Amino acid sequence: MGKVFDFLIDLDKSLFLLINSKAGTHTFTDSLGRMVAGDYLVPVMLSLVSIFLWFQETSENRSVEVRKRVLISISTLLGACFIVMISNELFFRERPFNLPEAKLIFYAPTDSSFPSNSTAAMFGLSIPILKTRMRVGMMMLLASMCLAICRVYVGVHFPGDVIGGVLVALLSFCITILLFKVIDKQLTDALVLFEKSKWLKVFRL
Amino acid sequence: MFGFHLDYLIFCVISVSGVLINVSAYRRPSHSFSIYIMGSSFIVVGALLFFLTDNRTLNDHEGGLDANEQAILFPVGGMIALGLHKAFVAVKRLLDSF
Repeated sequence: MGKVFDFLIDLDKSLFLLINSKAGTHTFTDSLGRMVAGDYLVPVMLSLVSIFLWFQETSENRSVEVRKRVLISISTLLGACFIVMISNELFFRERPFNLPEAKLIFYAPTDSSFPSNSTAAMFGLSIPILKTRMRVGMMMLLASMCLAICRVYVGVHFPGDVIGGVLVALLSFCITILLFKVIDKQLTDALVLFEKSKWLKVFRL
Repeated sequence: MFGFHLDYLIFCVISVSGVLINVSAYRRPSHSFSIYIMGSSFIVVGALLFFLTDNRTLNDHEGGLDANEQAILFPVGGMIALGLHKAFVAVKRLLDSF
C-alpha cells in the first residue's frame, strides 16, 4: 500500500514538473496561463453561463427544470467548497512551488495544495448542467479543465490536487442530488411561485 | 482603476448586463444578430476593462478578493445589472409609446 502511494506521489511530481517546465519561457502563454488560472476569469464566465440558463427558458415547465439544475449546480459548488474546507482542516499538503525545480509564475497561496479548491468549485458548477444542457455543460467542463491545467502550469497545484478537486466535486454532486430529491416537490412549488408571483416580478426578465 | 473591489463590481455589472441583453434577444421569436453582438461586446469589454487596467493575480492577503467577497460582490453586481436592464427597458417602452 505504502509503495503504491509513494509511486503515485512520484508520478504526481513528475507530471507536475513536465507541465510546469514550460512556464516562464513565453510571455504570452505565461500571461494567458495566469489569467485562466486566476480567481476571476473562469469563475465569472461560468457564473454568467448559469445566469443565461436561469433566464433563458420561456415555457414554465422547461424553465422550472433548468432552474432546478442551476440551483443544484450552485449547491454543488458550495458543497465542494465546504468539503475542501473540512479536508484542509484534516491534512496539509505542501504547494508544488516549494520543490527546487518548480517555477512559480503566480502568487503563492498559503493553504493546503490538496484538493484544489478552485477546480472543485468549477467542476461542481459544471457537472450538474450536463443533464439538461449537454453541450453547454461540456463547454463549462472544458473551461474548468483549462483552469485545472493552468493551475498546474503556473505552479500552484500538483496534477493530483486537481484530480482530487474533481473527485470532491463529484462527491458534492452526489450528496446534493440526494438532498434535492428530498426537497424536490417543495423546490418545484417555490420555483412555480417565483415564476407566477406578482411581488417577485422584479427578479424576472 | 477605482480599487480592486469596485473594479470587480463594475466588471460583474457590465458582464451580467451583456448576458441579460443576450438572453432578451434569445427569448424573442426573431433572434436579432446585432443585439447578440452588442451583448457579447459588453461581456468582452467588461473583462478587458478588468484585466487590462491592473495586475489581477493578487492573493487575498495582498489586496485581491477572497471567495466570500466574490460570493457577495458577484450577486450584488448581478442585481445592479438586472435593475439597470429593467430601467432601460421601461424607458425604452415609455419612449416608444410617444
